[in-house]
Amino acid sequence: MSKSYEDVVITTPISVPYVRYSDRPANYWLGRALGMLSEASGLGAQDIDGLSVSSFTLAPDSAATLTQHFGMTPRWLSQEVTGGASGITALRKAARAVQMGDADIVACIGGDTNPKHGFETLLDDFSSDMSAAVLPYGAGGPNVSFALITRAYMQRYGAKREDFGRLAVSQRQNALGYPQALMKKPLTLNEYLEVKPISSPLHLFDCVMPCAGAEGYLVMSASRARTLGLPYVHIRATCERHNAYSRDDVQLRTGLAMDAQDLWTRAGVCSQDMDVVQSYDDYPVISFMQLEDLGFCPKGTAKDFVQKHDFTVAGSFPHNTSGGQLSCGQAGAAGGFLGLVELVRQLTGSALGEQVQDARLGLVSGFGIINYDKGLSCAAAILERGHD
Amino acid sequence: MIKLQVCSHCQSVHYPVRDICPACWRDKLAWKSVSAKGRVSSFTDLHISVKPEWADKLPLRIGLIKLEAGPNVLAFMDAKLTSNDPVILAQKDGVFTAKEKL
Repeated sequence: MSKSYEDVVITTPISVPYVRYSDRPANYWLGRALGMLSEASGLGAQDIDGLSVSSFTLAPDSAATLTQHFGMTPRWLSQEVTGGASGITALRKAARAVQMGDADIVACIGGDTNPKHGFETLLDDFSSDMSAAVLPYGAGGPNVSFALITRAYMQRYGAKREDFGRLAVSQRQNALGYPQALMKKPLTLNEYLEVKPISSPLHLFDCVMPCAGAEGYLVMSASRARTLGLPYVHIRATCERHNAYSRDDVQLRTGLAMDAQDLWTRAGVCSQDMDVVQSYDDYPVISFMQLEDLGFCPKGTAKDFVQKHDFTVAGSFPHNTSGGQLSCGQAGAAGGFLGLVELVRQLTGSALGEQVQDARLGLVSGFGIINYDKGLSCAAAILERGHD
Repeated sequence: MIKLQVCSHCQSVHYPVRDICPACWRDKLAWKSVSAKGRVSSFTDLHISVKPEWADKLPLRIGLIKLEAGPNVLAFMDAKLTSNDPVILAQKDGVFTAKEKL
């Protein structure tokens, strides 16, 4: 069983405001994240001795070449490759590095650029399986893979578009209060249902909008955070899993189902204790699966759970309180950080938008790398508001 | 029959293309004929492509097919075909098309 994270904490959640398109390279967006971390914490290159980077559009540069771009001399360096899970997998590594003394302060940053036609280029370079076995079928990209998953899920469990729509509509409601969301127009269920199809059963408001931006946070000891006067959250437990259930005909469950029970046991809390939840929402069906696989509701019943609960910030199940990627936009790998950064804000009482009242415990989960027919990487973390 | 990679050591069948057998990690993958029969697990009608060259061919019905031989494959498929239908795959230039199994 994994050991506890003891007094390792997360501080300084920052979000570099997203834009729809950018001609600047990923280096700029990641560098701005580092700059904002410095401005918010008072720390500089002489203090930050660990760097974790997640980006799809960074090549030919890398975490290693970025140290020169950013004028840093870290003694610990990591590059995350798990996309939508990378905010959490970065945390897992950084926390252990700090716990074991390999680094004192790690900056974890994730972000991407998005030039016009950038998404097309990104798809061409995404993976060998995407190129060989998905793109030849009309070049729909991840929309096709997720459409196949969504239809199979609807057929298996009886979920309807209205159920996915309730999630999308409540997240848009949350986004209206979040100053950095790109989508600021209220969304009605009727508009969700009647918008144009992309890849059936997926329609426009089921699909995230690619954009440019970055997110970041710092990992350090609680004593260091206290000395610096930085609000922080504790890490109760985390998990990650890759290529789970590879023999399933269709992906109706994520690897979170393999680890959820152990995750809750290690955290010493249960799903009902969560004051706020952030799931990875590149498509609504993926949020449904995470909620089920993590035990918030039995398998196949997220459609009932979403109807029974109010998912807005002030509701009975505050979920994706920034509006999530469905309303903020998906800034590449920053999408894998958005939920974690927002959760740290909510648990430190520093929400940019509406604050969940008295939020003490929260969960964030991530899901990434739709390589062929299945998303390969998933991760989750249970966090707690800082205490002495 | 269609051609897929079959491991000469453990006999497992693989798709998409692999360089090492995912089942036994031996480097004994060879292209062999396997059954073209399968069943539709799911499908989508694609309305929007990332690539402009597909624009005048849309919408396209694309299926996820579970092959009797083991792997899942994506395939173009007739618009009258739907989930759970048994199908036969044809293979041309590495691209699959699913036809109704008569």
